[in-house]
Amino acid sequence: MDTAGSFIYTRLLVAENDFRTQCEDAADMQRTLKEGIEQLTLKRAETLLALAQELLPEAIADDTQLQLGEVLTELMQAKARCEEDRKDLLQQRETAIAEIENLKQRFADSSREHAEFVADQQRKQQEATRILQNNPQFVQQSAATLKTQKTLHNNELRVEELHRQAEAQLPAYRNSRLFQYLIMRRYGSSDYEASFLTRRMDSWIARLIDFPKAIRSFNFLRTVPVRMREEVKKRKRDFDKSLAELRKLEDQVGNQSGLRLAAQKVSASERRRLEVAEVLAAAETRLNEIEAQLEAIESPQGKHFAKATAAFSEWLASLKVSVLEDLADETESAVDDRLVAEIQLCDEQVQQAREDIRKCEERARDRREKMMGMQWVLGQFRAKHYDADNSVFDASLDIDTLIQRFDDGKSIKESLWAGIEGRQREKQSWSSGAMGKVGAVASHPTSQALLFAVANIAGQAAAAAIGQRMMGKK
Amino acid sequence: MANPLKLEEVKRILDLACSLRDDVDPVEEELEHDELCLRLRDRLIAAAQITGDSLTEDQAAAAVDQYLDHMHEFREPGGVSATIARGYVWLMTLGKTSQ
Repeated sequence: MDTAGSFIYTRLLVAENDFRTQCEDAADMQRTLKEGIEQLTLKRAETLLALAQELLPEAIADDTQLQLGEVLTELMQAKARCEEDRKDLLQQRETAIAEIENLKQRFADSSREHAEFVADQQRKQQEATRILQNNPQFVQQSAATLKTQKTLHNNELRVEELHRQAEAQLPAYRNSRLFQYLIMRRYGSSDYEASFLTRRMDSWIARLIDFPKAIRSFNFLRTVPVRMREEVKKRKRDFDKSLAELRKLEDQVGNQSGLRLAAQKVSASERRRLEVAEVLAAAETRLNEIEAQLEAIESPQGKHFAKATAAFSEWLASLKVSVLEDLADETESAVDDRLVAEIQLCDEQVQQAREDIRKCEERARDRREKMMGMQWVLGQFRAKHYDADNSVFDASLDIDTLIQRFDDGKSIKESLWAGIEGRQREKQSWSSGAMGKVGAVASHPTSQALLFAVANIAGQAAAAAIGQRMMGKK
Repeated sequence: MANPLKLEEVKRILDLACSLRDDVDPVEEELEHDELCLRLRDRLIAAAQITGDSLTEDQAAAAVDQYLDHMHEFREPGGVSATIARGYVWLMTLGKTSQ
């Protein structure tokens, strides 16, 4: 039992969505942890100040508190700016997500429309085939065309083979002194002139190298491949003429059955579908950029935070924490010991939160990479029309396992795609997807009718051969 | 894998090939290469049957392919005669150049 392309497509979409959700969850967790660190840092600073006032009241001048106020104000301002930017980016993100949803809907609509046109084209195709099959002239000409096509292909192969043979064998003639001497003497031709003794000697050399056979082969290798190539070109021109006649017939039938119009509709809907797919891919890229900006703005290296946190760190360093701790040890007061314990606890919690943030960052990065990889696979999937109605996959394709392997990092996006693409099979139909190769070759939209009719008359394999050959020719 | 071509078989093919090639445009003949191979193969089998040799179709086809591949090959002979001939050619060429 085959698996429908639309099913695989849905599974991929779900996986992409899962990766996005996981990425957002990791980012949310990061934000929560960062807010926790901010609170802890403030608490630590206040406790530190209280400890300093307890132990060194004379050393803590009013300006120290003033400084703390300034630093905190700067920190708060940075946070406010960051929040402002974040809001703006979140709004952009929402817009981008809505646009993507809209585009996905449009893509689904255009896919549906395309499928309808393809189905209509298939019906017209069958009608055209029926008309063509009942036309004795077409039957005869198409059978002859097929035969000529095959012969031409064999001829081309033979020409190439003989060219290679000539290239390999002619140097032996050109490098042979004995052979070249007889050629130079025009031995064997009517122009040959020599004394009796020279004639005898030349004849002896000619016998020695079997000159009659050698000159025949030499001339053969020199001239025949070139003449063959010209002959094949001439035959090709003749073939093109007979193909053009067939196409005329095909045009007539195409117009008669409405196939031409149907094929144009398929072609136009296909174009629209691809345009939407391109815009969708661009919107997804834009969303990824916004999310990357969101991540950057909240990081400790973010433009707003960097300056403020540097000032805060400087201020903390000026308080000489170690000196305060030493002093607290020396005194008998329980208050200062409690304050030191609080600072230490804060430090431990901050340390733990930082470690958790690092893990969250890694997780978010990994999920984002997976999501982008899945978007790439989806782009390939859409470009290849694998989500079309006529697209089916071999039953052996275990998409969930493939996605799981990709999720676990056991495979990369290219191998995931190769695993999917390798099991793609197309239903025997005449949609643009199914006949992609031939369709790309045939110069006008109803050409598939000809090939379809030929296939019915002369067998599928032969038609496939024609398609391949035409592609090669192009 | 076909057996190596025997000298006798090659001679037979040569004769047959020559008889088939008479009055035929080589371009036409080469463009119908497959047919030529088949005809040569059949003739070779027929000839082998007359002489009482057993020759399978594969062996005959391999012999024909081998023959046709090397039919136009040229190799200057070796030995004393060829050396004398080269000396003669050298002298003649020298004489012609110095004239």
